[in-house]
Amino acid sequence: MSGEARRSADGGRRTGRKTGAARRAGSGRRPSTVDRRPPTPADRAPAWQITLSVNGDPYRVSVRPNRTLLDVLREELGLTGTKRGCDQGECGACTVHLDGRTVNACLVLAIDADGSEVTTIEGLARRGELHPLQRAFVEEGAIQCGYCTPGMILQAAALLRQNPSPTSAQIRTGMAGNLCRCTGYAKIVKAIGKAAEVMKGQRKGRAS
Amino acid sequence: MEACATHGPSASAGGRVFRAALPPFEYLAATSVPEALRLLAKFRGRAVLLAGGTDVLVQMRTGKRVPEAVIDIKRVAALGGGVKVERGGRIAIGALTTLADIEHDAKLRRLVPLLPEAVATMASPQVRNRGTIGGNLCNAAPSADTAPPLLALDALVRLHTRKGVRTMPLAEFFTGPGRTALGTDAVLGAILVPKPPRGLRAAFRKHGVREAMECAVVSVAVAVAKERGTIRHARVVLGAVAPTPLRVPAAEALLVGHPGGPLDLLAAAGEAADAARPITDVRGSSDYRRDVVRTLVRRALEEVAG
Repeated sequence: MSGEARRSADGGRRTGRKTGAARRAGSGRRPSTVDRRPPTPADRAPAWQITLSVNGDPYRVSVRPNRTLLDVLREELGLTGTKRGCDQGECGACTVHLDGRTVNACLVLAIDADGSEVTTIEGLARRGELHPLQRAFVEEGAIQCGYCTPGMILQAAALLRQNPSPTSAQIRTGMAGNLCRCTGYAKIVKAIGKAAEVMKGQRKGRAS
Repeated sequence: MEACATHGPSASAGGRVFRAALPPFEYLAATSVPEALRLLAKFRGRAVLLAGGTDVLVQMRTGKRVPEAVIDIKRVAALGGGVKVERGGRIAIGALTTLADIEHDAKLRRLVPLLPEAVATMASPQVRNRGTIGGNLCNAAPSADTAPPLLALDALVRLHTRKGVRTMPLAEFFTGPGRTALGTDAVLGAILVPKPPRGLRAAFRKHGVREAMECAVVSVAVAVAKERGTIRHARVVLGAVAPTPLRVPAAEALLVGHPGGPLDLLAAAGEAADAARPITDVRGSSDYRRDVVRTLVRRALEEVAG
């Protein structure tokens, strides 16, 4: 994977751009955070070119080593559905799928995601139809402020792929890395159970 | 994960918990063990090895670790390889094997269920998808959850140094909180679990303040093998109650040669509590931890020796 990463000559000033078949334009990025430490040799670390596929769209991005996948998704690609919570892998708000597995995007260096396939909350809906989990969260009122919701839904999607009919205890264990500070977990667990039922029905419908 | 990284109150308990960006560093991706060793030697302790990153990146973000360079070893094939059963029954686990892969590995679940069971209690699914067993051992938190089960199974570690490959008991690998025999110029290659004695029964117990995303206040792994009603082999290992994970030979000696009746187990649990040298911190006082050790060891032994 990282074999494809190349140091770029332009020092990484370009914003993320989609390659070839991209449909939507990536939006602008915010100015990077000012670092107040005295400069060290690492401050002159060169930028690297990485390519990654996000929700099926290919991107080429120039990144410095200290940028995380979360930084790039939100600030370079403008995909702000992935939330920044604790930035320490404790809260799960930044959960995305990386090559089919859920990870905390705040704990993945962007360089490390080179050549990977990423799915974010923006990539779950199909042809304008909400994913059954998104619909169930809305219908069950499993959302209050909504900040934890994208991470919750992506983790729940991975859980249901591993275990299509989880018990409520299994849902709670599977969601152990996602914190909610307002709705509470009862409605979230209920919504995931409901989505599991809906998705089972959909599979049956397709099979018959 | 990070709260588990120290032997004492975590940094997040006392002030700076958030910085907007990781501090800058040079990123180097090693593709072979010799290259990783060469880079480690070049930076002489000013570099950190990166595998899953679930501890290292948090330490960098909270300022506990400020490396000049990060040496990514994720793609070094010799450090991967997953779980393999060698001829003779020894199990070799590549250092880069993720915690999730260990949790779900069919061979481990059949041969040494203690390890996947303990791993399933760690952190969160997201962290287990990324974090590696080698990383958990090298981070050397006294509360590392992979350590007590592996010590109870008499595991060895294979180290790559500039002088070659050497194997040492895991018990000698931990030298202090956050410190290992690796020093700054060696790489952990694999964990080796000898074929367990016939009829081995083992149990892991962990007590935390909460169930999810929690490091152990006390963890316990025990392993016992009986022959004709008498205990012939016993291991009692404690986590989070000393600067390193702690095996308790005195407790084991009280079990071997005995039938494992309630009084035997109680005596062994008492030895374990005496051997514990817990600190007082935000998650529990020293006395409390010692008391929890006594209870958890007794319960774990009741499960496997009763």
